[in-house]
Amino acid sequence: MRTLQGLFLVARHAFAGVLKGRRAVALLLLAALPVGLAFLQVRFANIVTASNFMAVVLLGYFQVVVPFAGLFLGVSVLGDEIEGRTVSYLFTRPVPRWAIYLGRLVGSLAGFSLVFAGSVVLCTALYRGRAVVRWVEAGAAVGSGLLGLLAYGSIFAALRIVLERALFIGFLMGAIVEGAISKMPVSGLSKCSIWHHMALLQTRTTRVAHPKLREFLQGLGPEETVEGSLWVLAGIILVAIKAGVWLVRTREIRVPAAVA
Amino acid sequence: MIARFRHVAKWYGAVIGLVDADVEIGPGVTGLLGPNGAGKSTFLKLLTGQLRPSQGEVRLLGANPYTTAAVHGRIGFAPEPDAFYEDWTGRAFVTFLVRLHGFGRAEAARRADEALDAVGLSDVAGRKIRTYSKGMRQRVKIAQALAHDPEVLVLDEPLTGMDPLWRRRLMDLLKKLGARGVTVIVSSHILHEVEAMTDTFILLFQGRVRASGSRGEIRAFLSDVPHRIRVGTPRPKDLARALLDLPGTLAVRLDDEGVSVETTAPDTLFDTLPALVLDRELPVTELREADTDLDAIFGYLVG
Repeated sequence: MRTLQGLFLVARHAFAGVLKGRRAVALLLLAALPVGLAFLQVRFANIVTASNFMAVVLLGYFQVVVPFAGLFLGVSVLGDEIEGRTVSYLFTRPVPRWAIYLGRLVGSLAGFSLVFAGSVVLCTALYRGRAVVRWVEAGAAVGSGLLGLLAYGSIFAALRIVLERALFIGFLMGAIVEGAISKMPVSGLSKCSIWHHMALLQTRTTRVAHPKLREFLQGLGPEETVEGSLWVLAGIILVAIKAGVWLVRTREIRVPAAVA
Repeated sequence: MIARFRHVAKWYGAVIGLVDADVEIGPGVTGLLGPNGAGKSTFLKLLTGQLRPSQGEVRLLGANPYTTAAVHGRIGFAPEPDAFYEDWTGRAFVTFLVRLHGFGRAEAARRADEALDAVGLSDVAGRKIRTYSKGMRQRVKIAQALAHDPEVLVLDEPLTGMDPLWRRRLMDLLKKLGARGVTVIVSSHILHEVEAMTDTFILLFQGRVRASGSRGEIRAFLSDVPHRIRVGTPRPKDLARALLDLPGTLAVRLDDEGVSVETTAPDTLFDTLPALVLDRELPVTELREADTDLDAIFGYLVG
């Protein structure tokens, strides 16, 4: 009971902390980026179609916002408490470390999700003024994006327990795995990326045709289904969370020395 | 025994934090003394389960504090770093941390208010911590450590930055807690502060426990170091002449109000002195060991 209460309290504390500090500014700017693009397009382009919205989802949200937000989310899970040297207060309470870790992951994810969902809703609302964009497409974008956010977030959160420079290394990792490797013309390699599965979920559940989307759909094998991608993302999330829990239980977490 | 370090060592890579610490801590107030970098914080982090020993074993209240979260319910810890959730009020900060002990909202708020009152922060409990002075911040740390009525209170340099009035009040508070049966372990690099709170110490230097026990025990342990004994008398020359003949006397220093004797046989001196002064009809105004204060002991221990 004490563990559950602790987890809930820590989650609430982490949720409240999402929109504070410099990282919050970066997150809000990141979330505002696709909204800004959507605004410019809706305001100045002659023709605006639903496929423009899909391009923003696939290229803006899934390729930029979600990975970077996931990176910020992941490194802040324990990173904020370690760098702020407040982790001592939490780790000397009768709440297991894994519960503190999970609480912070859940709370941070909830905060980031709100920002992400708000941004997608705003973007959808802008496009709906000029083109036929259904809320179901926005819903698919939010759902796929949140799964991606949790996947990235839990990977980078686990990484932060091991590495002090997780932000930098996470950025490199994201660029290499999600960017370079997944684009290599080698059969099956693209399935290694989280982007691939987010995009599959989005394209398979909406009817909007975009050149990028059509190209993507043509490259999919018949075995690549929504269920399959859901399983892959769920697997990534579960393994990453389990790894994080194991690391936080077994690995010593040191508070950095004060800067004089 | 409340806590036990059994041949504990802690390394940070190639840097030594603590070497072969083998001490026991009992009830009451224990002072953890040593200069900056002596290993005090490492010792306390090992004790409170924030660090895992590289070697040896730490037991706190019969459990391994690193792996047993439940034992943290019985301890209160105030860390040394000046770190807080700056945008929170003092009350919110303490209430949040008390709630992590399983207390309900109302009970936690009541305990937080009581603890803040005990450290004189009632008036500013609703203010954000970032507006607090250094001394107030130290007191918030102590309040959050006290609020859940722990059996063991571990304070890392709690008096740093406090004004003299609150320094004195806090020392009194810790002494009272110790007398009430709470085990208080308090670190400091300022000897007289700790000396004012307790007679039981652990002396650390360069990562090693140099001595532990009461002041008298530690001084007695230093048998190869000459004892300095102060004898007050209006006739210092006569007394000095008599003391020079005693076995073990190495040196006698005179001043207007008495003599200071350096001896390797303090027991002989104390046994012989009554007869010696009676024979010579020497009035004695003072008799005390002059080097049992921590400064002197520490000086002997660390060279």
